[in-house]
Amino acid sequence: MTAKNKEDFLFQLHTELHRIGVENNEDIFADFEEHFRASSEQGYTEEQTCEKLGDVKEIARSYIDIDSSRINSIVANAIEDSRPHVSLTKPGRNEPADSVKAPAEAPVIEEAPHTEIIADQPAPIREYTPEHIAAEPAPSSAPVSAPRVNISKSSEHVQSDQSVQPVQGTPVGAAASAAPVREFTPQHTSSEPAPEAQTNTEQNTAAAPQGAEAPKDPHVAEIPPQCGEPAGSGKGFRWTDLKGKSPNPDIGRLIMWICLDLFVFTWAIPALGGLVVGYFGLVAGLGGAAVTTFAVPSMFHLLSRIFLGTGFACLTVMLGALGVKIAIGYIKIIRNIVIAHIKAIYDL
Amino acid sequence: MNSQLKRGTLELCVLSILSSSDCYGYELVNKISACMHVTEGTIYPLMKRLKDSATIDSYIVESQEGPPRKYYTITDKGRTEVERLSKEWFDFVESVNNLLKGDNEQ
Repeated sequence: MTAKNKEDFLFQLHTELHRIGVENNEDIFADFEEHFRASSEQGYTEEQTCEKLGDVKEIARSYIDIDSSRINSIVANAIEDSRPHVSLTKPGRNEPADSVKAPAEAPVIEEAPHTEIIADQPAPIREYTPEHIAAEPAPSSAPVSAPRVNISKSSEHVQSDQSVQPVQGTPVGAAASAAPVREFTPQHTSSEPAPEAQTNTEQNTAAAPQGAEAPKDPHVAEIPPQCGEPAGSGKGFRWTDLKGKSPNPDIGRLIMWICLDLFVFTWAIPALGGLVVGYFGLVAGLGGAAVTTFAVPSMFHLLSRIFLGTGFACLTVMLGALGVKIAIGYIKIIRNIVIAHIKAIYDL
Repeated sequence: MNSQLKRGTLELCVLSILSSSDCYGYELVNKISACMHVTEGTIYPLMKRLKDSATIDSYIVESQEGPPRKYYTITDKGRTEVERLSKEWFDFVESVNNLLKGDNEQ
């Protein structure tokens, strides 16, 4: 489609470039403005110039064109025909059609004489190429570079491994910065149920200053994901396991950490939660008082009472269930902490 | 002329024009469209590509009567590229010619 005049041409070009994901480069517009100026000096009208310039879509597409091979024209056509308002440059939005196209297109890019140009332009195509994905820093490459053990290891190994270190005389706090970081990879956090993750993190921060360097242990690093127990679970522990074992010589410090953990989980966090809940309770109470004081008496008609009563009963049941769930969660967390520390003390 | 074939040779044409003298955009477009039928607008994207690949460069020339003009000039890399491409082109044309002549003779 050719444009009617200069303004129309530049507007259409702007729209098209944006739509296919080319950064709106001032140079591009400057080139065409100069062209229009020079053309009018030669006595052509804007309409004639537009006609000679040709199809705006084709021009815009030429800015991302890799070469004139068949596959690329297919891709270019697909880009042109794809949903007009979807931004193809956003890497987060995977469209099935584009993902399918990406592999077919990658070799072409390598062969193309203008590879570096393509890489400079934020063309939509490159978002899905292997090169691009490889070049992307944080989210995609993190799991590759991070030791495999971080994602999948069971808490038992973490704990036992870390508690072994002090015995071997590793300086305190040697890898304090390294240890907590491992636990916060997206995979790690998302693959676990919430309370367990919390426990695990807590234990690690507690154990870290003792100079653990778990990833360097070849034995731990080779545990395949499917073999490890769910992180943070206290399963597999029996009191009989402790028979004939002598406690860790470093027991004093471990006991200190146990006390700290128990303090945090049994007192500090519930106290904070209680404060928050209490605040909401206060607000609700004040609201209730206001209603009973200022509301019209007709509100307490028999039907209203029935409805209110039913509502409150349901609410009570729900809150009760929630409370029980939270209590069970806490009991589990505390149990896990205790077991983990006992294991640590006995070098299990 | 087939548009795919044309697009490939357009680069050679631009480089070869620039290797004889520097041009500003409109002048270059006119020179090309004078001898072959092209969508004029697609020459600018081509110039951008060539510039990005450092085969050509541009500079601004102030003029008395109007706004400054952007002139294009060929780089050393571009000159070697012209030599390579034109050699390829002549080889290609020669082989196509041979083929076509052979067809005619049969």
